[in-house]
Amino acid sequence: MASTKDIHLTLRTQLVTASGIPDSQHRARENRDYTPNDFETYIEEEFVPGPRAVRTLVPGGLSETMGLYVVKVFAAANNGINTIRTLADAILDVFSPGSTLALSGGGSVRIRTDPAPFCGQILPTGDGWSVCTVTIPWRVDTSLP
Amino acid sequence: MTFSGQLRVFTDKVTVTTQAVFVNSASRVLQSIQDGSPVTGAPGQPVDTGNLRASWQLTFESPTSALVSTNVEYAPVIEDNIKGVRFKNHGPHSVKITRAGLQQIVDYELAQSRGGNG
Repeated sequence: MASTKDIHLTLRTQLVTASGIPDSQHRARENRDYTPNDFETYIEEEFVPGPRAVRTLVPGGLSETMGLYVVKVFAAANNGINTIRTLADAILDVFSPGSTLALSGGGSVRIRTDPAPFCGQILPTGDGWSVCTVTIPWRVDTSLP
Repeated sequence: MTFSGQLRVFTDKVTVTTQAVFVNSASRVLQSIQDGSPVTGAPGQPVDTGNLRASWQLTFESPTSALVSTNVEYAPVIEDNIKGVRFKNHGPHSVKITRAGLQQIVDYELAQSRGGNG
C-alpha cells in the first residue's frame, strides 16, 4: 500500500513547482510552527487522508484511498485580488484534473476529476490577512496483497 | 403473472429503491457534515456552543434534489480552519470531505438497500 507519507511528500513536491510559489521561508508545513513575516504572502498546507475502501475482493484486487490536499494562500488584507488569485491559479495549474504523480515507493497518486481541484472565496481573517483555500482531491489505487 | 406484469413489479421496485437511496444518501450527507462519518472520513462540526452544528439543514427541493446548507456566517472560517485553531473536538473540512466522498455514501446506501453490510 502506498504510504500516506509518500503521498503527502509527492503532493508537496508538486506544489512547489507552481509558478510564483513563495520560497521555503514563506511556506508553512504540516506539524511545524510557523510565524508569518510582516504580512508577506505565504502558503500553508494540510494533508487530509480519507478512508480506504476495498473495491475488488480477490487477491491482488483493488484498494482505493481518497483524500484532500488543502493549500491556503495568505496575503495582506485590503490589497486587492491579484496576489492571492494569481498564486491560487498557479497552484491549480500544477494539479490538473486526471493527472497522475509518481510515488517514490511505486504506483501513483491521481488528481481527481469529480470533484476536481478548486479554490474558494477570498476571506478576511480579521487580523490583517486575507486567505484563499485551494483544495486538491486525490486518489490512490493499490493492489491488495 | 404475465411478463408485462413482472416488468411493472420490477419498475415499481426500482422506483422505490431509487427514492430510498436518494433520501437516505441525503440524510447521510447531513450526518457526515454535522457529526462526522466513517463512510466519508469527515470529522464533523467542531462543537463549542453548538450553534454551527445545529444550523445545518437538509431540505428536499424536489423528488430528485436535496440541499444541505447553513446560514451561519462563520461556517467557512471553521470549514477551512482559517484562523488555524486547535479544535476541542471534531475538526475542519467536513463539507469538502463529504463532497469528495459522495459516491461512497451512495454506494453504502445502495448496499444497505440490498441488505448488504456496505
